[in-house]
Amino acid sequence: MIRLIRHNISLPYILDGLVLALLAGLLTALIWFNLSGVSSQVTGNMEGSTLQIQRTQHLFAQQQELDAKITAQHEVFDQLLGGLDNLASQPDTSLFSPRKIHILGNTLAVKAELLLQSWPEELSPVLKQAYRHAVADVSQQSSALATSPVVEWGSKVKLLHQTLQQIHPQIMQVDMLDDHLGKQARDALHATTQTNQQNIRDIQTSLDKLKQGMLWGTLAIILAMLLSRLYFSRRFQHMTQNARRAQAIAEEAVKTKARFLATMSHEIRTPMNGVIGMTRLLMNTPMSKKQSEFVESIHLSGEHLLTVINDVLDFSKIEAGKLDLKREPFDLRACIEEILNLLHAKALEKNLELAYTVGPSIPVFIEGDMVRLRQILTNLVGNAIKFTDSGEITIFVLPRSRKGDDYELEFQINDTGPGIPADRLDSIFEQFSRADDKLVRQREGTGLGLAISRHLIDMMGGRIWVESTVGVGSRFHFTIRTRKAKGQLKPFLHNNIPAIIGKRILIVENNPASCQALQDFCRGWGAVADAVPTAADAVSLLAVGKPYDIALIETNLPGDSPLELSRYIRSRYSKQELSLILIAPPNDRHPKEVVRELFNQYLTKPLTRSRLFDSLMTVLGEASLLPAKAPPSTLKLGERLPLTILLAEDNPINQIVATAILAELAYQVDVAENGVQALTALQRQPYDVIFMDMQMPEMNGLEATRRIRADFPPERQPVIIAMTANAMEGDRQECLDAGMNDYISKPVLPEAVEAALQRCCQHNPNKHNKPEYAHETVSA
Amino acid sequence: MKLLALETLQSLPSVILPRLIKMFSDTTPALLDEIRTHTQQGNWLDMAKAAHKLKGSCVSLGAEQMADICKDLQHKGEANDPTGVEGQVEALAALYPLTLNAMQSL
Repeated sequence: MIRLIRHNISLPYILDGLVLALLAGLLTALIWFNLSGVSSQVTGNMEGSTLQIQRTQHLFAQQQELDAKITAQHEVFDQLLGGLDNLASQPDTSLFSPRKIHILGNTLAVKAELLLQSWPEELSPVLKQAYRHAVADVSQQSSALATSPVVEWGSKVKLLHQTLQQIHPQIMQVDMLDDHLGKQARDALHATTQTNQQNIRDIQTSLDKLKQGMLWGTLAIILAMLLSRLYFSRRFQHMTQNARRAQAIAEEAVKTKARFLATMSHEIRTPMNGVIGMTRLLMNTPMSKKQSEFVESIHLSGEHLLTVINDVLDFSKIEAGKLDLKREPFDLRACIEEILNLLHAKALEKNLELAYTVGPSIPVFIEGDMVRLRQILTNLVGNAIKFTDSGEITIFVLPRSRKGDDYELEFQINDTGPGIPADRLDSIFEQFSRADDKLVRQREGTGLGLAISRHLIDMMGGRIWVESTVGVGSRFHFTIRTRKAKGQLKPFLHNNIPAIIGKRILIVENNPASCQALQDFCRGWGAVADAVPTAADAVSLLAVGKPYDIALIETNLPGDSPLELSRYIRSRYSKQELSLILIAPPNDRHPKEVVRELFNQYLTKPLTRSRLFDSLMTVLGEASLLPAKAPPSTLKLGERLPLTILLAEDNPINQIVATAILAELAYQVDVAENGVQALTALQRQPYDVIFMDMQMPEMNGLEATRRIRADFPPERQPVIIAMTANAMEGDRQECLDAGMNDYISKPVLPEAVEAALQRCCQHNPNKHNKPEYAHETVSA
Repeated sequence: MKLLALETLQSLPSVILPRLIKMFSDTTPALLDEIRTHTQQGNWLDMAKAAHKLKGSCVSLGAEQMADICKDLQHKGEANDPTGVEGQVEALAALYPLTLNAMQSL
């Protein structure tokens, strides 16, 4: 739908653009053509004017030349006429001789010829011809005069004088020739002026027309543009509204879907939890082997389904934008250790090594959402375990960058699994995408885990990527942005523990990551730690007499190396002189009695700081180096310490909480709503322990306790543990005064319940006697 | 003080959480009404009992702010001290939907 809207919007955009371009082009063309016309006109006018001016100039030049020639021939004509006059009047004394008259006649002919050459063709051709003949006559007569005898001079002079007198009007007309040319030049000049003025007027008119045309054209185009804008803006507005509506509908649909998924997941989770809880209870009842297998199968399927639902719920929360990350201080190393503890059992089934190292420069407490970080790591490490059949899974945390208290951390999760094909690497973080569907089908999973992790990492300001080589293994990287935070250090988080400072510890560990972690921990507490990867290397160190207080030996050294090495050590050092700690999983392959004989302690995998710390402190604190303790029991408290328990509590929520916690510890509980019911129940059957709420209707816990202590014989006396949300010193004393043995504050937490039961019952095998001491366990 | 102490909820077996939250949503409105009614009628001891009852639920589910108000109400009821009780009852009623929402969005 969005694509369709985008398509619909893009078309008007294109049309709008085209219309605008067209109008702009039209405007440009209009200007162009009009200006071209004016330009051509101006050019034409300029050329015409130039020609006219040139012609005028030519006419002026011609007039001047003609004027000079006319003047010249006129002067000769006047000299000739004057000479003839003089000769005629004073034939004997005249300065002019016929010879000189002849010369003047020839000069006139030459001057006349020059004049005739410059005579304009179009100008008085008749005059020209007459002039030519007249000058020729004068020339001829002057020649004749010069050659004629003296007696004839008088007649010839007279004749020539008459001729000159006759042509005098022609000469006068010739004199006016230049005037005619001058007039022509003036006319031409006038015409040029006129033409130029006309041209200017024409250009003016053209420009006026152009201005008007441009004005109207521009107005028309502006109008067209306005109309176009108006039309398209309405269209756009309409389409934007449609797009917004569509987007809102789409977003609402996504939210509805997410809400639906969230609701559904929540609704499914509730009965599923019931199924799983009931199945767990069922597993504690006597069943045949076949029935146990079926119930186990139901339980596993339920747990898997719950995981799927939780994934869907998380994903829908992310999609609906309802997932907020917290920024609280937490211990990064403890967080990783919790994950390793959680997943260790699964790793153990495949005999996979789990190890982690956190860069020493990374602060103990960082700020962030531990629950979500744990979710990401659990997913990645869980996947690694799921897909790896042999080898090891290691977690490295490295500081990528640091600015003051701000850190960017990089997590690396390495496995030695089958690897991921290169063509799946890019899509592996998409929802419902998995590297190898065939493989995955056998191994469960929703296909949402990595997509959820990617989203969470995005929200943490980081990114996730993977490197993998098929047949070798995979390395998932992800980064997060965090800050150094303050927190309450547990004993083992402190550096330089006085009891450990200066102790010499030998680490025999062939897994580099575990080896590094062990060295980091030991050195951090102030020990001097040497690490070697093999038993032979350890023997080499010991053979040269290097002294050690403690040796940590990895159980997975090749062959019988761990036992051989420990025997070698025991042949030289007693348990008091050199404590041996075997780092081993709960299902260690070595015979336990042999291990007990040789080693002081088991250090149960997965390796964590707290466990290592406890082991070191135990061996350092045991002066007599008692025989090593058996590995911790995996049995639940209820299986190790069976008890009959009554819960006296009126609040239904607290009933469920307490019942569920006790069920987790493998105890079945009877419930009394108040003190009266508790007394009745105790009369009906004996109970080892009563968890007693202080404030109940009809009869409160204090009164009920007093009655029990007063009315029941010693063999029917239960351990009574108070439960109260009051958490005040006066209350505690009141409980103890009433005869209660122990006291836990609400909220009731599993650890507190377990601890209270262990304190009251393990230390008092005769549960029916009133214990001599009382404890307080504050859960919160 | 947090609206909801997640660590308390996380420490509980996950199987019972949805049921607990449902019970909380089923029982709390009636308890709030009871507290309000007793407050209006000046039955301070009964108000204290109802507040105590609600406090128990709140504490168990990590609803720290509500639990704190309930504790105050209980003490005031037991001491016959009506000072500020009405305001606290209203604050408690206002916190309830927020707290429930926070629980349900877990």
